[in-house]
Amino acid sequence: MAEQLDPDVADLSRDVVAALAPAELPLFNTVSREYAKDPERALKAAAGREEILGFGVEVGLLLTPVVISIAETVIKFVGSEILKLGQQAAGTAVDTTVRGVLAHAAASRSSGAHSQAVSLSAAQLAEVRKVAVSRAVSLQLPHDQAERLADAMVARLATAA
Amino acid sequence: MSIGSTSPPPAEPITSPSVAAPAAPLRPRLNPFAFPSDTDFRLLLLIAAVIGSGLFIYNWVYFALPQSRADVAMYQLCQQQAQAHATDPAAVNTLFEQCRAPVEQKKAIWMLGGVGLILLVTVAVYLVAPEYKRRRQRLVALTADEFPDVFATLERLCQTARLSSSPRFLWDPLNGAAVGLAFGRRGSYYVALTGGLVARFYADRPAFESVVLHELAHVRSGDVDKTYIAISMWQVFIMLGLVPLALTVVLAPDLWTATGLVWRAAALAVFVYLLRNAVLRSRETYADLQAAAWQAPNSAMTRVLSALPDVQRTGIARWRDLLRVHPRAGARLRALADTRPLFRIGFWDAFGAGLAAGIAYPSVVTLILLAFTGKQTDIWSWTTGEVAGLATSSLLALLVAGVVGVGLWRSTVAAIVDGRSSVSPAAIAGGVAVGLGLGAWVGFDGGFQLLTTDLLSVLVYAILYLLLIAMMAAGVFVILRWFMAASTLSLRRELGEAAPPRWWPNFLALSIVLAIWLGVTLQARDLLGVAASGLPVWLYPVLAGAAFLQAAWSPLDVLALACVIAFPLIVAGGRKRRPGRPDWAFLDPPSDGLLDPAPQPVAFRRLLVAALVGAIAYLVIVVVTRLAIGPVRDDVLAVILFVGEVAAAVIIQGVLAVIVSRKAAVVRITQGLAAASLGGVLMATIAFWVNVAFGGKADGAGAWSLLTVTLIVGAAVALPLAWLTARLTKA
Repeated sequence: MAEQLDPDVADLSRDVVAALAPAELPLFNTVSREYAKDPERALKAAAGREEILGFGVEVGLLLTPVVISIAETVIKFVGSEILKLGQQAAGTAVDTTVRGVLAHAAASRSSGAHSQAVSLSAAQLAEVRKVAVSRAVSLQLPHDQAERLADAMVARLATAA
Repeated sequence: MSIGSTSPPPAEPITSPSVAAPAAPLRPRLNPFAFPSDTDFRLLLLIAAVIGSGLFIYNWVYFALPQSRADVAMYQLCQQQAQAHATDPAAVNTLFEQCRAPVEQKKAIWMLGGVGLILLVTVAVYLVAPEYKRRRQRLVALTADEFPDVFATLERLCQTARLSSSPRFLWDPLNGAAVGLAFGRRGSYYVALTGGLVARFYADRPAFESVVLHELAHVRSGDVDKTYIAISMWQVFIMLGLVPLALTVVLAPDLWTATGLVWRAAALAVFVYLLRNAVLRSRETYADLQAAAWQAPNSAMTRVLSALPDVQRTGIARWRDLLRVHPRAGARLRALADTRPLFRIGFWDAFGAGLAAGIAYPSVVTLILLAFTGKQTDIWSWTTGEVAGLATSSLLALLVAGVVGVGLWRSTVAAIVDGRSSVSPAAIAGGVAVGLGLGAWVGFDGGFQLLTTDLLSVLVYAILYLLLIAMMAAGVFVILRWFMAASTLSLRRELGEAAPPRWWPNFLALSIVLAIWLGVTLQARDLLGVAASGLPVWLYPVLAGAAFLQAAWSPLDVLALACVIAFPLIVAGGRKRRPGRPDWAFLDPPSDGLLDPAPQPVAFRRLLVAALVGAIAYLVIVVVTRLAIGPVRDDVLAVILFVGEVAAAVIIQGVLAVIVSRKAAVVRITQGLAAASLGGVLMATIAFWVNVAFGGKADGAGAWSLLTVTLIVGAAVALPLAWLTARLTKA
């Protein structure tokens, strides 16, 4: 098992966690490290393992592992889309890495400037959203939460039109 | 929401459901921490039930060993030898007992070894479990380097809880539930937090603190050890108790015996399981209250409890609550607002205590009998069986008195504070007696009583058995009434003091009286069982009644009488230690004038004067009679004189009881009984010395008999008279 998350996955999921579950942000590094060791266990435990003798607010969900898992799927999908874009933009000096897409999105969000990186089209982003929702639902997330999570993820990936 | 827009809409944080605000308490809540909790006694009941069952199981398993065949041959040889060397049945029995003693003692050691193994493995599991849990759940240390703010808060909470040494904080970062758990063993405690709970620290700090303080309350009160001992004991009981029994059930001589073993094992497993759950449940509400008190006035406990899922069950479905290891959230919330439910005791609590004691009783008696086979006891002419029965019932009475006495004591506090009359102990007495009566049958020994199959005999046995249980219940009821009357007196005074009361003298007094009464009635039940194993029907009541008669003249009755008199007088005559507001009794400040004024003290002087006057009157009567009769040379006359002198003493005791209880302001019956008994002691002393003065022997044994008869018969007459006087006249 990997000891560390893919940096793209980590960046994307950290931003989404910050938006949707800011209280989990201080735990992000630890949880992502544990996730990297054993994703299956992390996802299983995220829903709240029953502790018969324990006391607390027992209805709970740790969103971070779920977000990371969806981010992994999304990044994989985006990677394949970028590969297609790279082939179309052959001969042009553009960054055709996922990191480039993310950086491009971040830069355009903060300054409104355009960087030399490929950006996803609205149709591709819609496809990304579909992939994210599908993955979230497969992880037993309620549909409304799955959609909110997918929206947050797409928003993070969105580039200036 | 449009996909691909430059400015993503602000995401809405995903949060847990919000909960209602806490309700303010309407009347000052009673402080349950000022009184002993029943968790300890429930754990002791669990241990007693497991020990009792374990003793029987290993007695049974012994028969599965190859060694047992040799033992049976040994029994036969012993019987032949005994019959060859003696003709008198008593002598044959003594020889047989002595011959088989080594075998029985070996069996006793085996049984003790089996139970010892259960207890030893329980301790081992309890010691090893924390480390196992830590590894299995992959709990890691929560460090200050990683979460300085969380760690600082945890340290502060430990200081709030005033723990002698802080537990180690672990966590499972991946667990999404917002849950805390205290575990560990003595001297090495852990509090495990989940990732969800640590996240809660950043989202809702008061809720986080409530959960952590609840766990620290468990550490502070020593609950962690009780919890894990109860859990370990249940697991080991299955492993080393029920499994060996199941494996050897095939050795049962017939289907009837095998069926009896199986249903008893199932019933016992259910009982031990429910007892374990009762131990686990009883501690939770205390931890909620403690945490809320530490966190006050900003406690989020009500909010946290309101967020817990709660299913309201009605009617018969409520039995499912018994399977829970936590009380229902609704009940916990209600206890947080008003602690009075913690100050109640009901039929089922008493029934559980009686059942556990009833299950353990026959097995422990069997063990003692096996260990002392062939040894003659010489304690006030009691047989080994009687001594074993009394010793066992005394031990078990401590547990019953613990559960019942503490429960009634607490309910008396609530009654006094609320200005209502005390609860009736009828249901409690019934619960104890029914539990004890049923325990002998649910316990494994019940299946091995050799009862006659004749219908009439079975009917007579059943009627007498029920009668004995009814007598036991009636006796326990009277004892509990006495205990509550005395406790009411002491608590009324103590609720005017600034220092919390000492509970153990009350508990000790109740234990002594209860032990003697339970010892006598259980002895009668055992003798009834002996009679029903083949003796003629008319002997059933004779044998059962013999236990009561024998007990009536034993020194134990004098001890019980002394206790019955001394305890209420001591508590009524006690002085205030630290007069002041009873803040110790409340979680919220009590309003002034909440309590009734303390009752009037006991007029000890009047009591002494009455006894002295009675004794002087008796002296005059005895001396005048002796002078009138002259020297006593005839045995019949001596007996008539003895009976007459005792009768005169008893009559005077009755008069003293009426006079003193009529004048008394508090503990009227006890004061009447005390005057009668004090007068009885003086009159027995006078009768003895007058007899010596008129040429009789100064015989110690005779003096003791005179004293016992005078006191016991005098009390038997004085008690109902004092009760009637107290009922019919105003203080």
